Amino acid sequence: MAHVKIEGLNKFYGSKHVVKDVNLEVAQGEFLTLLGPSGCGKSTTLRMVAGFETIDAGKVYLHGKDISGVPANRRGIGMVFQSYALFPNMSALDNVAFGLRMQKAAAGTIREKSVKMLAEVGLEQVMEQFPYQLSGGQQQRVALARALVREPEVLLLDEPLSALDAKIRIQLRELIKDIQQRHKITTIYVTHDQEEALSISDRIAVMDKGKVVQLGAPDEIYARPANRFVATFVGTLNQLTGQIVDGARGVLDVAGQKLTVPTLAGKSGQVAVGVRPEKIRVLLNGAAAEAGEVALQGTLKSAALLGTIVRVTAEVGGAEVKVDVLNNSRLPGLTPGAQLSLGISQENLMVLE
Amino acid sequence: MITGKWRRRLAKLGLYLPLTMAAIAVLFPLVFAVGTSLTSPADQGTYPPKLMSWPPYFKSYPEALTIAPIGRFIWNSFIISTAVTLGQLVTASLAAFAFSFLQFRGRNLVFYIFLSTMMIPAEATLVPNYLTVRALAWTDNYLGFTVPFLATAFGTFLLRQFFLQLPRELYDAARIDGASPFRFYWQVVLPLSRPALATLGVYSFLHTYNMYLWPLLITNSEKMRTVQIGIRMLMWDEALDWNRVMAGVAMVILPSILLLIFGQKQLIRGLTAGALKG
Ligand SMILES: Nc1ncnc2c1ncn2[C@@H]1O[C@H](COP(=O)(O)OP(=O)(O)OP(=O)(O)O)[C@@H](O)[C@H]1O
Ligand SMILES: [Mg+2]
Repeated sequence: MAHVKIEGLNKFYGSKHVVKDVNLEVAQGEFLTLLGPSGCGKSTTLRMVAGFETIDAGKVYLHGKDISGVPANRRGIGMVFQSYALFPNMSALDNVAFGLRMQKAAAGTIREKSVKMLAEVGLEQVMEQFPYQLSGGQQQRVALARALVREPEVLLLDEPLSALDAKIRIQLRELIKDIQQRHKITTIYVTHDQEEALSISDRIAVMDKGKVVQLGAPDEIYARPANRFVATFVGTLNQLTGQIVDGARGVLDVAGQKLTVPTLAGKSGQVAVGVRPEKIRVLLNGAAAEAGEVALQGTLKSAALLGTIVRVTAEVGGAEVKVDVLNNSRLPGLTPGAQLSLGISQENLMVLE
Repeated sequence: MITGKWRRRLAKLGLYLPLTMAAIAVLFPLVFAVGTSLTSPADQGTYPPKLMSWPPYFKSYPEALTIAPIGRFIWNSFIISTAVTLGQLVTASLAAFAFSFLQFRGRNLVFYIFLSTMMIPAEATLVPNYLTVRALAWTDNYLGFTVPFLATAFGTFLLRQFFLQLPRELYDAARIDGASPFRFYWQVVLPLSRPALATLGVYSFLHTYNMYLWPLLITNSEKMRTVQIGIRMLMWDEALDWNRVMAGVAMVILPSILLLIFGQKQLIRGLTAGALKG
């Protein structure tokens, strides 16, 4: 049985339908991410699961029990907020202890549990300090400790890392994943950052305009996006738009270059195909495309070193095509304006609709 | 050529000159009052006028105290102002909390009705209030001074604006941890709102302390009079002795000045908090 089950969830703000019929099941110990652009209804969905927002239609179940009408504090849920939401007038320790105090636990137990939890997030040194004395990353660790100290069944996180800078963000997301796995806690995580979602989740629910448009494991979402929105929102995508010139074999004319894409067979008119930058090869020294590959001719615009990879930008029939190649120095000096042959395996061309 | 150093000095001058002039303008009446209270009757009306006698004429103070029981008046005003201030802090903060954090049907409507009472001039409520207080037999009684002023739309509005700046997620965090709304109000909202509470406190204290018409209306006996009326009593004396009047004024404003000095820091933070965060 699913640990958390969301069934036909809907929310209106006035006449604005912000969450549309969301259905999700989260297994015990699973890490599920709601991913989507700003305003797509991720927070609203999460806040209905937490019990902060009334549900206009639909139900939320925990272990098969309907909790839709249960107040937030009796749902067995811990939550981490984007703004940290630490009580500014209390020390880190008091913030963490707050929930246990509300449960009227014994003073000794409260302290022991809070200190242990703070140690787990690496903050035992600063537990007497106040939020304003802590860095953003430290504050969010306190918030994480506060959410977990009552040993909730389910952990909800609403963009917990979006206010932090890149390095801390990566450190902290590893810590979150670590702790999540250690406690085997069922987690629903909200973010608009696709890279974060891909790296941290067991499964991702991609949301667009209040709806879940695709649900699947990160590699699945990345390799087989359900539609053009998911394909462009998750990861980087090159789009090639052209006219079908041979519907039987699936031949696409992109600015005069003919690409044979078997999956386009039977289509006609204008279509777009997409390809990820790392799925494109630069064909060196006049090498030809291999069997099962289509070849594209382009002009080099720029080559940017991004560390591990070099991002090559080429122009193909007026459109930009980004190509990622490993930075292993086997590339010849790339000068802007040079002619470039690109090879793309047919199976890596996704039909966008 | 004006160098950076000189430019900074000029900027400072441009700042401090108007400030100094404003300070003199504000302080002059105070200095004048205290000076006059230390001037002997013989030195009054001389030309050119003196700021004070030398040696200072301290007798104005005991003389003022024999004409009117100023000490008793200060005590009355102090008790009344303290009670009204505490009452307003409690009612305004609770109402403001409800209007900013609790969800209930018609919340905004009720708030605007509440707020609209600020537009009714105090004079218009004077007579109905008086009739009510008299019917309750609260004239000449601390209850009549305090109860009508225990709740204010202004204070509620002021605190609500402050509370609305507190992140809503704080409330959610407290709730999910099992805190009741009142616990959140008590343990988080109030401690975070000290500047705003101090602002309202000082404001309502001074406002009540300086009330004139209402105390005049509802008191008959001398021992229930308040400071502003007490000062009038010094002026009703046949020969108007300004040194005694000013001695009374000096004694009467002392509590307000102490309050301002000690409340200054919180007060300034309270008044500017919105500007900084908004
Ligand atoms: N209290 C509210 N009243 C009216 N509209 C609201 C309210 N809260 C959210 N909305 C609207 O509902 C929609 C969804 O909001 P939500 O906060 O769930 O988006 P989100 O996906 O979390 O976006 P973000 O990434 O910006 O946080 C938005 O269009 C927002 O403007
Ligand atoms: Mg959000």
